[in-house]
Amino acid sequence: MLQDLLREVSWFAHLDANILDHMATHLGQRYLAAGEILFNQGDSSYDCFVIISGAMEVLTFVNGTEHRLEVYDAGQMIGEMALIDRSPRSAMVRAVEASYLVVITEADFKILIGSNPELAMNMLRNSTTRVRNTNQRMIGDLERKNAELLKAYQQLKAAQSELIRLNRIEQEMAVARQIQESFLPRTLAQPVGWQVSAYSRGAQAVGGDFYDCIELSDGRLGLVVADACGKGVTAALFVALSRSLLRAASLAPWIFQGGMAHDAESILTGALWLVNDYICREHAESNMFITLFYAVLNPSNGTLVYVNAGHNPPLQIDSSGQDIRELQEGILPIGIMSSLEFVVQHARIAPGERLILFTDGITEAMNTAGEPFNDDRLHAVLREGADDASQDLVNLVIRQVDAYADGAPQADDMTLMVVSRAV
Amino acid sequence: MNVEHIDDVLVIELPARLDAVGVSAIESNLAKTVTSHKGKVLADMSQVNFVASLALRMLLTNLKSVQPLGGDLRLAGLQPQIAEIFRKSRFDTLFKIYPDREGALAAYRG
Repeated sequence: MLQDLLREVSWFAHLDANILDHMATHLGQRYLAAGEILFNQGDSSYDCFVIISGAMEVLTFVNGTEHRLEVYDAGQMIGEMALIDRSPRSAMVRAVEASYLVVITEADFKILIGSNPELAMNMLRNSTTRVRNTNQRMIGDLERKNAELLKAYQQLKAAQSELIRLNRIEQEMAVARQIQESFLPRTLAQPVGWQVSAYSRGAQAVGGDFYDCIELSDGRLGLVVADACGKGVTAALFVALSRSLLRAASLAPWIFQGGMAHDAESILTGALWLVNDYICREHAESNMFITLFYAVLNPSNGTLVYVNAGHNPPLQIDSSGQDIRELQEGILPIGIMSSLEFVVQHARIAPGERLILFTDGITEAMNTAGEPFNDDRLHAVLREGADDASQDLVNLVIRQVDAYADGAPQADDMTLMVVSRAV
Repeated sequence: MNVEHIDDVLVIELPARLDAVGVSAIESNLAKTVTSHKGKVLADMSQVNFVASLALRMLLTNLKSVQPLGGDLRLAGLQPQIAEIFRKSRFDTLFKIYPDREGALAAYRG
């Protein structure tokens, strides 16, 4: 029976019947269930096997991961390498399915190849082909890995140059931020009997809000809080433009016209006309606008002459610290209509009263649920800090807005100015 | 952004949040729709519960683009807090604003 099976194996097809008979009676036999291991990688065993039926897989382990090198099926020889060079098994061999093998020991092997030069030649050919195939496969693997490495290297290089680019942008934004901070007054004038404090923080590296406190003739102060449409770089460019124009235009009549003091109304309308006209003429197509509150305060008597160009109405708080009133709204923002008429309004800050200028980044600061801080909360904080000095009140409001946001990202630039008159 | 034609009026229903993200999502589409219509446009703002200054700019840009073509951009259905923003910024003086869509359409017909 086994003789018939052996004859069907090409290796043994040419063997004499008596040798086959001898093999059938002497050779060991192995039956393996699917998944059963014939030998492990590193084992010192020197038999080789011929698969009569079933299939065996050759496996190796790289970094603990199993890799299948080859599958051999009926008629093929397996494990002859260790038999020839007596080195430990170079791979694991496991049954893919139920398999039946004959075992050829070293002594059997010698008899076989000695008795039949054709068989010896075939075995040599078989081993050589296997080595050649393995080499080819290794070269193919190396080429593929090389291509993968090259691709990974190119991706790394691209990521690196992107990082360098982003880093450069970040550095430029840091410089832009420094320049923008230099647009804010370094110190705020503090006339006798008055306290002026302010704070501004952009939602991004550069912002679209600004405040100013311009020292005009006769000890008067030009108080400005403004908010350019949008935020970030676009808004920041308009802030730079309008802040510079406004400051220069406010100071020009006094400096260049023989030191003559101008009345508050003409300072306001002159400066605002120039800024509005310039933006409407030069930048109409960008449709950018700036909401801006500009007041000339006379500290000696508390009169406040102002133009509100579409800005959040400032709040006036009475001497009790509890009654909060909005200053009346005014005209359209700057930059929309070239024929804008600058309506000048008047108020008076009495002893003990204060004026709160702010941008909507304060009242529209969002909490994590996306709800705004709103006017009511701002009023409540202002009442709470009624007895605070200007700077303390600024700090209190910002602290409360930040606490309300509770880590939610700042959606808009926020600016606050508190002007307090002593009792 | 829902767009429909009622008689000769292009009615556009604006989405709830017109913050920077909301504006950039509809800005170019809105501009294309409005300028190709060339006539009467009504922005139904009844769904809008937040407007950033960029949203005001978007409306202003569209108003400026239809007016020279003989068209107009009117607004309807502003929620109280939105009407408040229009009042404070005086954008209420730039646009004809109506309490609701029907009122605005009737005014266009008259």
